[in-house]
Order: sequence, then C-alpha cells, then structure tokens
Amino acid sequence: MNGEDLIIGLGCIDEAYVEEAETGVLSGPAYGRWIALAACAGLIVLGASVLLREQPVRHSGVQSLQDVESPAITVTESPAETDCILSYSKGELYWAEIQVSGWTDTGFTGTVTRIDGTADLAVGDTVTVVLEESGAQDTDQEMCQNALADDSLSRNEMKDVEQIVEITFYAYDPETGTLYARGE
Amino acid sequence: MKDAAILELYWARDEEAIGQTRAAYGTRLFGLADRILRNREDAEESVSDTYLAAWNTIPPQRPNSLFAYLAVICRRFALGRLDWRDARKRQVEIVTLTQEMQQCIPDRRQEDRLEGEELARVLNCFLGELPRESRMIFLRRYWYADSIGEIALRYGISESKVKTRLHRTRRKLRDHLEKEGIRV
Repeated sequence: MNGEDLIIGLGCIDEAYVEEAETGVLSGPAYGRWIALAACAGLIVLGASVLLREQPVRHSGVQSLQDVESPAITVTESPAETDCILSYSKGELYWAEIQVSGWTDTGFTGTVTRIDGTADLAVGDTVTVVLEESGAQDTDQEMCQNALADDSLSRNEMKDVEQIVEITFYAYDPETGTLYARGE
Repeated sequence: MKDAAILELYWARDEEAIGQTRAAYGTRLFGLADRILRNREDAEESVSDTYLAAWNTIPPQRPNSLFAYLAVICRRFALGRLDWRDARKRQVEIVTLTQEMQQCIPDRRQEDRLEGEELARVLNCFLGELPRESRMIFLRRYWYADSIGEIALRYGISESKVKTRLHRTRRKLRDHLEKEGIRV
C-alpha cells in the first residue's frame, strides 16, 4: 500500500463524511470549551505532549517574541528571559512527550520521555514548562483555562489528575531548561 | 432547485435532471476535478462523465445527499483520468497529497495491502473516531484536495492550525493502520 492507494481509498468512505466536510462549519467558543474540558478531564494521564516547531533558530537578546516570524502565534506579552531559542513554523511540527514530575504556579516540571524529529531537546532532559496565562489566540490551553474558570474547577484539581495538556512550544531557555508554551 | 426535486426528475427520467444538477453543483464538481487534475479539459470531461453516471444510476439509487453522491463519482473519475507520472512532472498538488499520506503507512510491504471494502472499513472506522473538526480538515485536504490556505479560509482558522491538525491526524492514521495489523 502506498500514498496513492490511501488517496484513492478515501473515495470509498461514507458519503456522510464527504457531505459534512463540504457543508459543515467549525463551531465557536462553546465547542472549544467542550474540547478544552475534554483535554482537561484527564483522558491521558502520563505526561504532556509538547509540539516543537521546526527549524529552531537561536536568537540572542530578543526583547519580544513579536520580533520573531511566527505565523502560528500572536504574542501579547514578552517572557522575562531574553536569551532563548525561539522556533517558528514553516512546515511539519515536531513533538515531544514530557513526563510530568510536578506542578508549579505557572506550569509544570518534567522529563522528556519521547521525541519525534530533531529539536533542541533530548530524551532525559529535565524541563520546566511555563504555560502562558493569556494569549490572543483561542488555544486549547486558553480554552482550558476558560473552561476551568467557567466550571469552577481549580488549577489544583487539574494538578491532582496530572493530565496531559497538548501545547505548542514556542521558546526554550537552555540555561534554565524552561519551555514557554501555550495550547494549540 | 432542491435535491429532492432534482432526484424526482432523475426518477421520472426527465433529462432536465442533468441541467438542474449542473446548475446546482456544476461549479463545485468542476472545482473538485480541477484541483485533482489541474487540467481544465480533463476536469470538464470528468464532470460530464459524472452526470452520465448519475443518470445511469439514479434510479435505482436515491442518495441522501446528491452533492456527496456526485462528488464521490466525480473524484473517482478524476483520479481515474489522472496520469500520475505526468502529474509528478507537473508537480500537481495531488502528488504532494500522496506523499503526505505515504507518511501514514507504517509498512509498505505488498502483503499488507488493504484494498476495496477492507480499506474503506478501516478508513471509515478511523474517521469515525476523529473529532469532527479534525475530520473535516483532514477530508478537505485529502478528499477534496484543498490547499492549506483554502482550508484556513473556509473554516476561518489560521494556516498554522490547519497544518497542526493535519499533522496530528496523519499521526493518528498511522497509529490506526498499525493497530489494524499493518506491522512496522
């Protein structure tokens, strides 16, 4: 079997899916909140999947992430650190799985357990992940936080189940092993 | 004219059915064929063949969605008309799509080939397990051969989000195919 077989084989799928993709619209915030709740509900409980963007580029002395071409991310606040490895997307994304070892006020600490593709991380690296509290785009993480607020769930409850949050990595400080991330 | 009325024309063997079908769906069917073939003449012939096939199959068929029914036929004709070697030379988008789908196949050995109904069953099962949003984006890309930009525009989301969803969905498809017994 090859890629052509799959493309051709898709011609035999249920017509309802074909119709759905033609006439369907993506739902608004309510749908997003549902997804966020699902993400926050501890469906997967081992670690955190962190999407790492392709072609990482080292920038020294960057004052604002707005200086960096990054079509996926609209940044409203700069991180305090200024010497980070920043990444931007120009194609496929890389990802890593991080085993959560503890939660912090701003995210969690953990160890990289799996990685797909090249990146600045390696299996076994210890990292601190800082989850953005605010952002301009409607990310899963942001939706997750909204959902937490809307449904009176606390961050502590989120910590207790140590669930996975799938998030997008956008900056990494090798000095402190800190990943800056937000949901995708 | 609505689908039900057009279908009645087919069932009454009224040739006006073809004209009404063309008026209702001709543009979209041509767009689908043209995205696959990137050849206006071949695309027009695919659409004409589609009308003829519809005329010959309705009745006895009475599709729930006339567009989906026609689109399935049209896509099949377009892919059947596609000269893959020539398409590779011309770097037609469909070739890129097959390369992307190739990444979903964990094993290329001939004995693991899935064909016809079995492949349809596997793909329907996979699509049924996907979140609706991911399924729609996936099918716009690999069923309708839309570009990333077209999908982003259609659903009002960023191109980066489209790429991310596609990346995750391809990864899930690879896992699904592997689970279905295609060994790595």
